[in-house]
Amino acid sequence: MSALRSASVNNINWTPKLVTRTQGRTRLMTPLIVVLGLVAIQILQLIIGVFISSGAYDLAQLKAYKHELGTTSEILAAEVDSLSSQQNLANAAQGLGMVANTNPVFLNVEVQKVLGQPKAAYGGDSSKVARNLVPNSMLQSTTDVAAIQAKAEAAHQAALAKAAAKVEAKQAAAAVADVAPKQTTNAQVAFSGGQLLASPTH
Amino acid sequence: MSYMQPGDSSKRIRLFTAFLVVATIAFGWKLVEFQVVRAAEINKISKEKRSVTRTLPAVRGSILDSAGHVLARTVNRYDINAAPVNVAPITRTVNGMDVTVSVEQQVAELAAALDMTVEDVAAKIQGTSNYASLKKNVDSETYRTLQKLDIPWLYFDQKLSRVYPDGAVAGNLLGFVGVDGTPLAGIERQYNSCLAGIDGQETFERGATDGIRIPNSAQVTQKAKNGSNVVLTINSDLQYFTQQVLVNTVSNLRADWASAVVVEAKTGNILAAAEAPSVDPNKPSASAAADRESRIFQAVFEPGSTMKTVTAATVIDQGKANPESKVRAPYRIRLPWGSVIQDSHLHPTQKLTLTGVLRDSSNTGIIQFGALVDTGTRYDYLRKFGVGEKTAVNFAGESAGIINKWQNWDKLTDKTSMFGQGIAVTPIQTAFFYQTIANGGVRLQPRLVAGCEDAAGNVTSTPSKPGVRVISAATARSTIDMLEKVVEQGGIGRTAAVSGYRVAGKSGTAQIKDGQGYGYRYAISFIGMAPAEDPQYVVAVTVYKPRTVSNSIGATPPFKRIFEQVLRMYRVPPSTTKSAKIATEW
Repeated sequence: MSALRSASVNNINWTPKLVTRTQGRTRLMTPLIVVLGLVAIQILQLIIGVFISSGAYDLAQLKAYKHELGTTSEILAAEVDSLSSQQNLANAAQGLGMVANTNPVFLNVEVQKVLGQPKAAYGGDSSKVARNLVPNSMLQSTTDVAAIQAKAEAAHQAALAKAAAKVEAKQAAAAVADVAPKQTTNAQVAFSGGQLLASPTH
Repeated sequence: MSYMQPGDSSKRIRLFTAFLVVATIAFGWKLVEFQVVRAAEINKISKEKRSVTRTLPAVRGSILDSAGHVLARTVNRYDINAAPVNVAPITRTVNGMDVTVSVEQQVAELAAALDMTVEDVAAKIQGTSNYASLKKNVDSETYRTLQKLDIPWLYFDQKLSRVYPDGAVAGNLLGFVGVDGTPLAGIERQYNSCLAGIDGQETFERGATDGIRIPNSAQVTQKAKNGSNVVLTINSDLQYFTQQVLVNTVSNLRADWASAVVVEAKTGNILAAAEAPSVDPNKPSASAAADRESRIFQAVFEPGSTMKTVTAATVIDQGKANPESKVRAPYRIRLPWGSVIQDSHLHPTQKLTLTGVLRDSSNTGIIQFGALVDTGTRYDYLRKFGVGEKTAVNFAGESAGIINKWQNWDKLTDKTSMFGQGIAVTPIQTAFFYQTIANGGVRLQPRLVAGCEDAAGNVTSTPSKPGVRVISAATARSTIDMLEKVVEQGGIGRTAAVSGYRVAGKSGTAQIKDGQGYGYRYAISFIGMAPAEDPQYVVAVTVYKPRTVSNSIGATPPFKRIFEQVLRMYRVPPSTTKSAKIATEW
């Protein structure tokens, strides 16, 4: 601006004047700074724009993920509802051959009395848990009674095998003991809290 | 290095300066116009173009039983739609390889996932339209399966739907909602103000090209307020058990329907209100219209002999008789105006006490005792016991029962009302006649809804009306003692006994109006309480129009099974005392 003003003032008696290197550089600096400033602003704007766009997509992705989790939660809740419904439990109980004991017996600790007549539940028709008669169209997941029975049977067989192996081992040990010097045969006992004798068996 | 040219430079500078000034003024003016003068208008136009308004649906509250078990809840469901115009083979990446999936294969996969036939799906995606509905209301699991198919011409519309996880358990009480979510019956309708939330509204802006929502542009203009939960007094396990027993009873007796109410005597809480047939609220259309409602609150019938208990209590409360007061009870009594009242079975004249009259359910005996109290007083007692008055539950369509003013009773009604004819009641009313006696003479209002529970877990309890003293505590005790003899000694009553417990109860075999007279089928019932030494629970069973029995012997097996379950479930210790010694004959 000062250059302009001096140029117009000097116009009246104009004499050629050499523009020095320093003055030229000063004249160029101002527009250069402005241009650089504008470029910097544009780059900054671009970077912010990229971040905002990326944030928008991230947000959309996270929302989709949240929706997925919500769907998973609903699927699991429906399964739990179905498995815990009275209809499924009744069917499972009946499938497993459960019986209801209609003779409750209570122990009254205060008066140290047994209230009620204890009677074992038996598998008569009246005691057996009835099959489900109450409709439920939401019953989708059901208890796999056959799998439970198979698992129970396998556990039972395993227990039998273990018991048989134990007996065999004992017999073998007894045979060895017969030829070994006789030892005292006091029953093994375990102490519980140093007070009462407890059986070592379970 | 260069030299400025004289003359020209100054001119150029002036021109450039002038141009800059004009341009600045022009831009400045436009800036002021856009930013100040027309700012609001432009903003509005701009926002309208970019903004989208969306309803934020409020989630309807759940219905819970007394233990918090969910009986009704709101879940997401999906309508599955297709754009037939876009149906084409697609490419899927399987194990890193691109595989082309034909339309036929896609249709087969869809049919399997939607449980439809291939032909059905294929027919629906024919044509060149942009929309075809394949299936509505599919669950989240099916939706997930469909999502995995990754078929680009498939679209999902998410919506909220109501489900009842236990099916028909308490279905008659819960009611149901329509396809659009409108509550149509039961608790759903009656407690809609608690269950329904308030939809919210959200406005957000989205990009013009990609449609992606612009971050931080959302403005919730109205926040959605989810509905609260309704907490019932019902025990869903007991409710299920009771319904099981009733379905069995209806089947065995080939009855029209049966109902059972379990009441906590000291609070009036309804622990079970079961009916058979019942309705699965998930599929109400699968049940007959009459089975979708609650007969416990809506059905009225003449109760029959269960009302003799009320007459006996009235007479004792008025000081006109006691449990051992004597009467001669013939098989038949001819009234002065010619009408005849007789007992259900032929017998010689019996010498009965009031207790014996109840034990044998003698009509001829009870009308003699009832006559000791004037008609107006007996009417007042009936009203105090709750006849002719809706309960505080105020269930949708609930009946108040039928009782004419005593001044309008004819001579015969004056007599028959003593044994439950000429007046009509609902099953819930009969249950509360006995609750009154079990609760020392104070009638409480039944409670079906414990309260409305908000999101924070605060429960606003349903206001309860104070109890009404109907008879004295001493009268109530005497009545219980008499009813105990019914179960100990009565021909039918004995079959209602529960091993280990003292039970007091009364049977009823009521004729049912059919046109001008009575038909040949009955409403049979048994109502009782236990343990009789301090009654905690009341069970009332009604079987309507059984075909295989014509007396209340059909109502005692379900009564007994339900009471056994109630006493076991609520850990009631067996009785340790014996019933009072009362003469039943003389």
